[in-house]
Amino acid sequence: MPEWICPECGAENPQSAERCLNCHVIREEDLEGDLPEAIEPTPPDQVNIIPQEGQDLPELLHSLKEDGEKAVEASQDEEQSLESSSEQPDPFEKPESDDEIPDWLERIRKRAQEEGDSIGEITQKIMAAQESLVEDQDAEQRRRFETWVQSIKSQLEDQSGGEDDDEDDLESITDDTHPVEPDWLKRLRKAREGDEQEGSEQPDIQGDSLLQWLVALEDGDETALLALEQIQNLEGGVGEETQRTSFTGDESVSEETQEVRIDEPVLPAYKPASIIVSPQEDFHAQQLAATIRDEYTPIPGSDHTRARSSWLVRLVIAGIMLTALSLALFGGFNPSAPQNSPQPHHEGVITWLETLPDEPAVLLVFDYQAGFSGEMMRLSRPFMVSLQEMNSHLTVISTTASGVLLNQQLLVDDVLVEDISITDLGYLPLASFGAFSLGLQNQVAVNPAFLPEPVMPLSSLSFDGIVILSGDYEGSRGWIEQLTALTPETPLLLLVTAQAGPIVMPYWESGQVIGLVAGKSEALVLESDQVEDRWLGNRWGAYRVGVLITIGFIVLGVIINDNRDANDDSHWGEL
Amino acid sequence: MNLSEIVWGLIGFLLTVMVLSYLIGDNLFFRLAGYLFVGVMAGFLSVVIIRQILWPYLLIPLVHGSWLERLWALIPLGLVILLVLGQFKRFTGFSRYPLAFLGGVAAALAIGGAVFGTIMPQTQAVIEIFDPVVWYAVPGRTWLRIIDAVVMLLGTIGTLSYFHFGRQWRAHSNIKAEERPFILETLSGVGQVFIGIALGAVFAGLFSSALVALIDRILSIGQFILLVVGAS
Repeated sequence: MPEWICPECGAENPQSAERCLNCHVIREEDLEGDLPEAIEPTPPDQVNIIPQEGQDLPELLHSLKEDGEKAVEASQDEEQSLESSSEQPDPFEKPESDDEIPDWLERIRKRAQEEGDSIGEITQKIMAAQESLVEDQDAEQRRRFETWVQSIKSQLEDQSGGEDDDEDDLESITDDTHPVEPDWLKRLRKAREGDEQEGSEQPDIQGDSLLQWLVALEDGDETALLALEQIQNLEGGVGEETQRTSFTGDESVSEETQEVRIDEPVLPAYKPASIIVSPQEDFHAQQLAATIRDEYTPIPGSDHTRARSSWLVRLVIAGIMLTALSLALFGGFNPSAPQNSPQPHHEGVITWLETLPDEPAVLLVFDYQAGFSGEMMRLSRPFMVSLQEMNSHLTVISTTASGVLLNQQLLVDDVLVEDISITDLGYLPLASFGAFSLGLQNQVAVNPAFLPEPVMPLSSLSFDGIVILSGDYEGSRGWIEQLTALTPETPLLLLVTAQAGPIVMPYWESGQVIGLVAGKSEALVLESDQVEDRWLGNRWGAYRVGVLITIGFIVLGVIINDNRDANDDSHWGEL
Repeated sequence: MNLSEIVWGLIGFLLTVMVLSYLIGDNLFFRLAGYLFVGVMAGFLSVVIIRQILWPYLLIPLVHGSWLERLWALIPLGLVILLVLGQFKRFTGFSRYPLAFLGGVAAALAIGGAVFGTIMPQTQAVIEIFDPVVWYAVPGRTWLRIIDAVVMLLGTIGTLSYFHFGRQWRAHSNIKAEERPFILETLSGVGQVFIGIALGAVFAGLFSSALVALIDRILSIGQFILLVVGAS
């Protein structure tokens, strides 16, 4: 708790008291204004010794020099102030003139000089403590200064002695003086010894001041640069590999380029992060890698240079083919058709035709494009002729747009079906939809009353057989799947092109289709067995010639391709 | 020989030559013939759809049908209107409903047909062929039936193995991910043989169809030329 001391009696009083509790003297408020002012902090602009605009080395040195002079002047001022302060025994006494000393203070001083016990007990204790503190501080500072001077002297003696002794003596001395010698000091000394052995003149850096060394560094002195190098070695860690870079000084000062060895800082050794990969993740990674490998694997067929064939070659091949076929057709080449025995899937068709009742009801599904009309007409002609002879009732439905015209072409124009009933159900866009609707209406016994009656009376029809004329696999599969699931009791027969035959064959193997005729060659067997008019056999010669020419071209192409591969391999082998 | 036969015969001859001109590379005549076929096919399809589908199944019930038939016909009419509105930018989302209806019905038909029309009957056929009754049905051909059954079973398993792309995952196995088990690899090789035979048969069939079409065209052109020469 702050207190004030009565100037009259020296008694301690609380800060809030206006009078002395002992002698009742009124507290002098002016006393506060006479107290010494607090030490103001140093302005920031005086602390910053480095100029803001020019921070290069010359200005830095200049500022250091000025600061050094200022520091000397300041130290002299401090010494003077210390001397003046030491001459003042009273801490409350200020270096003021006698005119400015208040009256009360004059009286106190006078009384203190006259009477030894006029000062209060507490004030005496304070003064004694302050005197002892000043003495202790002076003694401590003096002791430290003497210790510092002695240590410098001992270091100088050690170094001067180490230069004359050999290396072992130096180590023993340094070990004695510095039991734990730092690593940086060893390297610094070693580098210095190496330079001395090279014969270069090297002044004693340690004897110079920092200011001198900085000036030497500014002037590009070798010794200073070497010291800078050593300092950098110590700061960045000593690396084994050094990088030689060019250190160019100020061009206005010197045009010479000096090489300075700057050690790269040693980076910590790279250690890959430890990743924990589960077996499942490893498996997925292997799968991904395998997929990428497959993706980049060169495909033999993707070589565009191989596919690039001359149009002349194609024209020659086509000319040979067209000429041969024309000669076969119009040159009287008419070999006898082969008399092959019917296959089991042919026998199913023949048996079905033989077991049909009089005036049978047959549904014909036209599901082929116009491009296959020639083949379909050829292979279905014997079948249609047989149905014509039985006075069949034919119902026609088309699942391709062109089927509307193709059924007329087949039944009316080509086969010349006469005196038989033909009901055209028109066009159903999708084979599966048509087959499903047909099979469903055949399956449902009672037609719901709320449904509108179809325009074409499909539900009232029951067929002795359904014949599908299809040009490709997809269309025939849709009909087979839907009809065998919905109306398995209805006989199903297939008349398909040669390209669809191998794929729909399993449906005959499984019994879903009772008979199958695929392509012209199989229709030839049916024709020889069923009809006397060998319309199809007349084209057999051209067909056989075309097959032989194609086989010849394929074999020739394989041989040429193999030779080209061999040439390419040898060519690459040479490379 | 009347005029129409000459005109249509000449058109057929020219179109055939234009298509065959592709032998010397892509050219204007080939493209002209292609555009002509596509255009004629599109026009013909539109006429067939209007005449054989929209008119009998939609418009006639709406105009001449009973009230019940008209109500039922409003359902496809609404779907058609939505589909047409979908062609305009402002009503693009409307076309989703008829397309979703068509897609759902098509998927149901395809899945139902594949399961009940292909997978089950084919599986049953492979099983039944091992029935001894079938083997001894025809005297003297028992061994042929057995061999036929074995080959069919081997081909089925081999083909399925070839298309088996799955991998069994084992945590502590040294087998690499891209390597298949030995049994699957062996059966896959057998399946490759069967697949190769099947594809070869398909190629032969495709070539046979093309050859027949070419023969027909040559015959048609030759007959036209002979007809013109004979008439002159």
